Amino acid sequence: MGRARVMHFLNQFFAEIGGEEKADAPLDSVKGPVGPGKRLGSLLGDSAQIVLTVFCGDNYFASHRVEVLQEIAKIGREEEITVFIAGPAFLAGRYGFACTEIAHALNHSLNLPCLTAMHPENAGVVGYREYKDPRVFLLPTSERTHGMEDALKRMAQFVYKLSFGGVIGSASEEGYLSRGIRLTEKTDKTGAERAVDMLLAKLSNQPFMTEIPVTTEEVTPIAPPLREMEGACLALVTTSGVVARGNPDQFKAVSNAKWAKYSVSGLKDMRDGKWDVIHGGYDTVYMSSNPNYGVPLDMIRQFEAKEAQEEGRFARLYPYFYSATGVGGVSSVIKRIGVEMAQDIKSEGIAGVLLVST
Amino acid sequence: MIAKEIERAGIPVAAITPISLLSRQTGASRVVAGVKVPNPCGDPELPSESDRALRKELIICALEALQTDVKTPTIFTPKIVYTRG
Repeated sequence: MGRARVMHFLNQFFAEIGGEEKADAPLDSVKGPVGPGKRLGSLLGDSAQIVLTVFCGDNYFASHRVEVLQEIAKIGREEEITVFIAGPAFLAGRYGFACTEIAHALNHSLNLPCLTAMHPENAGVVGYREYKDPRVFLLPTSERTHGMEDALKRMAQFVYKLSFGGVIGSASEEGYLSRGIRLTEKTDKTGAERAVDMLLAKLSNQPFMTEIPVTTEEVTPIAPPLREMEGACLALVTTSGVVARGNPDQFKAVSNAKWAKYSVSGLKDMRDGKWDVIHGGYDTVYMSSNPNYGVPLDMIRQFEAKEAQEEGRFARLYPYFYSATGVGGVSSVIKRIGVEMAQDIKSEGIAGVLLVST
Repeated sequence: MIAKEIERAGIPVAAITPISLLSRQTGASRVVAGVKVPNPCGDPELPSESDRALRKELIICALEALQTDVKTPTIFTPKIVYTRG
């Protein structure tokens, strides 16, 4: 097999077009490597060559998914691509999602082996685990780009194996995230012997590895609907990063671990108050000049009853809005924030929540 | 996600989510299709009155969603015009 012909997918940020303001950039391509592809290309050496880089904005992919997938498949076919790489996406959720979707599509339409890389908590991992494509592999990375060199090195090593058509072993051997695919292997010991070995190991506190990991899927709890709007107190919650001027609770723009509630008592419009926007995941210029975009106070006031018990209106808006900057967070931290917020909301007698996320 | 924990405590949540993120697992059961990431509850390219009217439609939809019994995660689409992307 000659040198592998690689197509590399990037989002607008890694393709060096721009940040959040370029998230609507349409699909485009250039010959050769771009951005981190250049370093990846040099690490690949003789095993493979990045002949083409395709890229588009995070929002563009989400809203034009079908067309983008078709177009990339067409390009891949025309350029006789033999390996597809996407990422590393770290914790960039929309980018990670795009990487997994494209890998899945190309694996099917062009039978390409695909490699992608992102943090294990990236939203893109969900699809990867559901699709279970035997020739699509996802390598775990750090949360942020400080792990770029390490990610690229491991990606290059993996591509080397893919290029030479070698057999890729299990997830634990090769370092990619498991997809839950069971492969049949020959072994010298019978099932009974292996089970007894495992039991003996377990009984004597020796390490053992289960052959079939049992995972339990969490069922999303669904709260009953609001039955009596006229008597209800509703609250606004936002993850857009709107905080009191001066950021008194010191939210971080990325990987924030705090939540707080800020008073809107007596305010009819967010612009009547003083706010800052702490969020590293999007361009906050609109939100800063009009925080009603993240905390829709001006219009929700219209649905607050002026006198007691008005039809079609709720009784009162809770005088605070809850805020927690939501970006680049690890799920255990977000869960803790959610649990604490939920406890406060419940103890305050709030009957329903309007949550605005970015 | 935060919405999931609030729902777990028995309080319904209407989650206004930018339209480009709807395919993500948010853990919310009542999802309202919002506008864009930088401005989920409005459109800065519209004149002020239209922007407020759009926000009002989102609220109406969210209040509807809160009062709707759902068995699985459900997307509610307000009567608004979405900016491209």
